[in-house]
Amino acid sequence: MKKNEPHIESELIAGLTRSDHSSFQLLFDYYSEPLFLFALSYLKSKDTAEDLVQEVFLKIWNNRKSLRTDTCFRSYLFTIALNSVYKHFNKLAKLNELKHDLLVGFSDSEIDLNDHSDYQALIDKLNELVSRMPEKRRHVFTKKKFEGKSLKEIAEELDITPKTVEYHITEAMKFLKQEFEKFRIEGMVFFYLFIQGE
Amino acid sequence: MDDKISDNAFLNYSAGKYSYNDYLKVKDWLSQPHSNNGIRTLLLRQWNAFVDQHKGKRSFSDHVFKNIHYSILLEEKNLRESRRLWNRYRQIAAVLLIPVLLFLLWDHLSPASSRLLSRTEDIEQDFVEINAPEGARSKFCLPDSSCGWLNSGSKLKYRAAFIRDRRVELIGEAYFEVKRREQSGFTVSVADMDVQVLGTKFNVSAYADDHFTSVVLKEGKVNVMGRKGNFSHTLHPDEKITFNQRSKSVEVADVDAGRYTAWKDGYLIIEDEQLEQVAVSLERWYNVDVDIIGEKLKHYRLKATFKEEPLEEVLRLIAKSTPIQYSISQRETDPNGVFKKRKITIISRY
Repeated sequence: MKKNEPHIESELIAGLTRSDHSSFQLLFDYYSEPLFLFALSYLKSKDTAEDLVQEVFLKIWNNRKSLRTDTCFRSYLFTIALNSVYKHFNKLAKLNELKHDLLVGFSDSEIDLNDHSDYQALIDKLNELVSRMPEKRRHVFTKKKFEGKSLKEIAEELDITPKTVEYHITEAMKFLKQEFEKFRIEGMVFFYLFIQGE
Repeated sequence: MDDKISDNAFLNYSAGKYSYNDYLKVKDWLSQPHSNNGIRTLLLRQWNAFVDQHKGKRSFSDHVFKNIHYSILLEEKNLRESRRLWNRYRQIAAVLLIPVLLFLLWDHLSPASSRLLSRTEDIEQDFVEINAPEGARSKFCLPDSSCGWLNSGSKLKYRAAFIRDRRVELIGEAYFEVKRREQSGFTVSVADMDVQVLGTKFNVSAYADDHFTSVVLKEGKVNVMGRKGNFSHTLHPDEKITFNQRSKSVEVADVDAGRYTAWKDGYLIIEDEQLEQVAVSLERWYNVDVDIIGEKLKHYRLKATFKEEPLEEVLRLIAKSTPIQYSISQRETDPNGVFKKRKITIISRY
């Protein structure tokens, strides 16, 4: 397969420069999965990785006219993909920082937390706990903690009083604190059970 | 920096088992990506491994390709339309050329006092107006062959002297595709701002009964300037600027410009809007009055795309996915016996 890759590819690229839809689709079918997985390994979000695949292939289509037929498509794709990965990664950085602030609040020492060898598990745990909250509380919580909105803004958006918003936040934080306490005690055993249960 | 350490951070991070400190190192590099070539090589190696192992498979949503395909088809359709228009122009121009030449010859030969062309200055002071009635969208072309679409209930005005000073006034919503001309800008004036362009494609929404004005850029570059000199911004493609008349504030956001211009192709797009806002869109789109009973219902959010659907079908589909029911009243006549607009009443289902 690898051997006749270049041959097939130059034909597909020639097709692409002629705006041929089926060549484009074949290139998509061939490269979209590696692209998705590559993006996912750095972005850690399926939705964002899917957006990236869409964005990158649209860019390829839009630049089709200036594509040279002797291009190594694999490297060309890598260059475009890497630029998109930077962009999305930096967009997500703000949210990651907010999540980290929450985790710092739930751990004994920030230094230990920063060195914890499985940080992703903590983030997954946080996401899972948030998704387990009742719907309204989850909305209030994400708007406050992940989108950085004020009590007043949230109250207006959801048509509830600021007092109620405050109540949901307090309850949500209490819930997270408790659950993280348990998580810490049960330690990694719990973690593995949880992963297998999924 | 120590290459070995950052290599490890990248390997840990991409494999999914990493510490926050690893993440910080990755972040450091990805925010200023050209500082270390070794990392780029590492990323390229990872990329090649993904391609070798996973080419030709597919694990994510089918929707992704459909979205891409949709954008492509939309672009091609627009291209075909503009080509057709251009051919049409050439035919019309050819037919018109002969009488114009005859007229010029005749005017030139007649005595100076009776020449028709000397009166053009008076004419240039006059306005030309293009209207799109409620419930309809119309295509327009300006004397400089810039074209565009006027959305329902909108009005575009320009002076007969347009070709020297390319300036139009807009009330309502319009999409412009402006022809580039060296040394001649193109200005769209709305109530609270001026949009200055060279040659580009963009959408302006400035309905008199909305409390905001917005501009979305599809291609090129435009300058948006507040009427009172209160703001000035250069807009890039896929950016949207909104001026809120109530709070006098300006907001710039990244958007998908296609969504804001799809109306010209007959798409009615509701993008996570409150029912209250949806009602205003429906009123304009279908030339009806919409009444929502109940404060709570007004803030209900929804998301939908319709393509040239009749009003009844749109309401039926909205009612299916939200807790509303609706009724369409019989059309009444006013004292002069003229039929009034249809009236839609929306109430909560519970």
